[in-house]
Amino acid sequence: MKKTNLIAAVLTFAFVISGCSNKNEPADQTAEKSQTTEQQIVSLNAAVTETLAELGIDGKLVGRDATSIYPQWVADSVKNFGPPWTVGTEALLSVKPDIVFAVSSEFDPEKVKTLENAGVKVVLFEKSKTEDDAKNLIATVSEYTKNHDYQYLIDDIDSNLAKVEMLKKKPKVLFVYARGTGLMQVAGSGTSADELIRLAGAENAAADIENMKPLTPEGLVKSNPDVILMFDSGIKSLGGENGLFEVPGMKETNAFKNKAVISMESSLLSELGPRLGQAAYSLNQNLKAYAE
Amino acid sequence: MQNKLGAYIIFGLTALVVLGLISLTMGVYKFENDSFFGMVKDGFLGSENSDPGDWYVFSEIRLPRVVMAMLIGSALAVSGAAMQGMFKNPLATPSLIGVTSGASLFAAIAIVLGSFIRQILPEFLHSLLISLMAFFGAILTMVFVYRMSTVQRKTNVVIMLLAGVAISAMAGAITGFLIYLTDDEELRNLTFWTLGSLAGASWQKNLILALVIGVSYIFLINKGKALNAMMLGEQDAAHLGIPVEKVKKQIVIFTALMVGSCVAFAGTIGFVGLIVPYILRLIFKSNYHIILPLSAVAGSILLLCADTFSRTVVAPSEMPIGVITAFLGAPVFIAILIRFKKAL
Amino acid sequence: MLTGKQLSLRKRNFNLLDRVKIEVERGELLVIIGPNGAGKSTLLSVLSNEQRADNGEIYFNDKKFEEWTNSDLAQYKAKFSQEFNSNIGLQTADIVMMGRYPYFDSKPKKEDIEIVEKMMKLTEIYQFRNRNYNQLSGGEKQRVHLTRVLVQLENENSNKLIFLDEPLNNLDVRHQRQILNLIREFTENGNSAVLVLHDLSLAAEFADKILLLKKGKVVAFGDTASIFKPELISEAFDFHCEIFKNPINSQPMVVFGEKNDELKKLEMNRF
Repeated sequence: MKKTNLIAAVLTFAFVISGCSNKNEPADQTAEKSQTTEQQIVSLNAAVTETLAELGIDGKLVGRDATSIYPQWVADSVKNFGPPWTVGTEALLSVKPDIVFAVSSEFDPEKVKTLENAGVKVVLFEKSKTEDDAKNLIATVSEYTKNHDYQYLIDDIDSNLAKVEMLKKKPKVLFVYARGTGLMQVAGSGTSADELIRLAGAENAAADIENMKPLTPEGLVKSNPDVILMFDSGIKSLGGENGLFEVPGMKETNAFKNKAVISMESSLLSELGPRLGQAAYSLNQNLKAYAE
Repeated sequence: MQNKLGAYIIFGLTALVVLGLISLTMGVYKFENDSFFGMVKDGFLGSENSDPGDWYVFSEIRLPRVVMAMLIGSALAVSGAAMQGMFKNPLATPSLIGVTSGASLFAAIAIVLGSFIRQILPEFLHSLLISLMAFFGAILTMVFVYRMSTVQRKTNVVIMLLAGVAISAMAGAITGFLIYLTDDEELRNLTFWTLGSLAGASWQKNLILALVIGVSYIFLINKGKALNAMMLGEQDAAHLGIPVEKVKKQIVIFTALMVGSCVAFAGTIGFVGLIVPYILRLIFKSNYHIILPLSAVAGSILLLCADTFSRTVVAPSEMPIGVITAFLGAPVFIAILIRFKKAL
Repeated sequence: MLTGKQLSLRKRNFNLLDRVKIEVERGELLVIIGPNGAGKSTLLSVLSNEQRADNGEIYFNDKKFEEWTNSDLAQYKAKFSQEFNSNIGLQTADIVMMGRYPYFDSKPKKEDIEIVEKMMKLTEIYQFRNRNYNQLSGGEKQRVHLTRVLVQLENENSNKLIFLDEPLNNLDVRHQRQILNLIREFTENGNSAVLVLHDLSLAAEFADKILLLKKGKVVAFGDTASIFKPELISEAFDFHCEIFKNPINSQPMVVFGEKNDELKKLEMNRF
């Protein structure tokens, strides 16, 4: 037993030394492999995943992040790497990807370098927060899909947006992100929720603040939203609508008086992608009830 | 006791190597080659059988990470032991004198500023910026605390501890404010930083760590005798010929250097400096002559195991390593407190 | 061997030491006595290089302390302090062995082990050598540190100096005299000792010279006969005393008490 240890120890020591000199070798050999077999793709962004799925994946989707849950077959059959910023390089390499899509602010530049050194192509996106962002994302992703003709997706967004009815009395909508009552934030300007609310013909109750900020009772009362908008999972974490209304400050709001709560699927709301138009229209229709 | 030190060290190093090899075979990535040693041999020799993907993952991702876990674990454990000897208190750790907080604060500033600088600087400089800032924060904190607590060439330990508490409070307040200012993506980066991760391990970082640790150990590992004497009291230690002020200065400088580098490359990983000396003290009593060198080995083993666990238990995701060390460390903390209470 | 001139130390508006002059010759056992707050511990601290006086000079073997190297000094000077750490997680023998730190790097030599063993037997702590220090009684812990200090100066050098600040508190009679005898032996080998003692009779019995200190000032300095005068002692300690000749060793025996006519009837000799 001791002898094997010794040999192993010496070998490892030698590998350490060699490892130092090998680091500049590019992994050209991997590039050869990818041309003969199917391309393996990993997508760590919900909007990207949706676009890929829509336009046809040129190869095989071998990995996704926790937010990529649409369409259903992706959620059911593709390997989930968890929240995008926690994915390890070793884990990614274990599925032998040829190309990885990720959001630049959620992906350590070090990881990008490591992947590229291993011969993986990394395509980075900014997080999609506006209508233009969404359309640009679709256009960029289309370069990697089977079907490069993405225009119909843009048209779909536009036509849905055109269907949005003007609301006579623009309701003030507050998007609340919650993971239990201990972690509650509101979406100010510059967020995807803000854009969606605007596109749905309403007003962001928290437009005076920037980005996501913690929820405060004074803030709630001051902004006095007519409608509360949340993820399905967010409402669940508060214990349903009743739990939501227990939150300090809620009782002073119009939303409480009218029991106005709208919940949406998280992937529609957090990441603006191909279904942006549908999301805006659906929200618009739901808001009609509160806009009289 | 002293004679057996050599034996214990050899035993520890053997255990470390064995555990290291086991850790190298574990991980999310499954090698093409069925035989682990076969894969390593082929890759090392550059033979045609070698799968480049396999060899890349092994030599550029897994092996550097295992080595980094050993280096950082060792450095943090020795820093903790040295501080505890100096303060004559088992709760003294680098976090206590504010070095870890100072380093993290500057790293946090770098991360938040990073979003503005990102457009101007190329990517690799961005991560280098964070590392340099953490390093700078550790040294700055150390100098500040040392200046505050040195009166007429003598160090007042109580003031040093209080200065550390003050810095931690300040750093916490500023970091909290920064978290408030940032949007949620940077918040996640920051949170992840404060929980620590060895995922960014590379040979360059390991080289720097090894250098810093190597130099620091030359000065610190043989301080066992001095620290033992200091248990008698600083005056009594001085009568025994120990250059107490010089010893304290060296301990402060080199632990700050080591902790600064560790925070720069891996974020905040707590409790290693608390757990390792505590357990060693249970076995070997408070004999720093033995505890210092054995901490170097035991710390490596601890963090190696914790990191292996962190990257395999919730695969393909990773559990932040700071969470694991906290899980191990909190009970130790409580045990120490109970002991104190019983002694009162 | 040890001289101190014009030693002053001031803390806020308080004179801890006021122009103290002190001299210790080779082979002398000097005892510093005085009431509480006289500055005895402070003086010992300054003389042993633990703290610096504001003014004045100290010469140890004709050199100032700055001129000595740390390692040399440790083989010539040792000090026992009243406040020792009562919580050290080590065995007794390990603590005594620390007294030999000036003589070995990391492993004690055979000589060190022998010296430690011998001294532990002389101070009767040999039976605790493997016991945890923390489990000993206060008096036992004290003897451990005394042994450590004695062990530190066991070497071939001459002109060594030992400082002891109230080494006899917490010790029973037998152990008190054991320690004092060991110190006497130390001085008879060409070394010197400076002690702070509370027990005046013991001081009188063992001292070669006495320094009487009050409020930081030297009240008197000389041999026992010149110091142990009732007026001097009563004045210094602010309490009436009578001094008799100890029937066992013929040394001065100080008895404090209220002035009393009954004393005239006593058959004891005055000193």
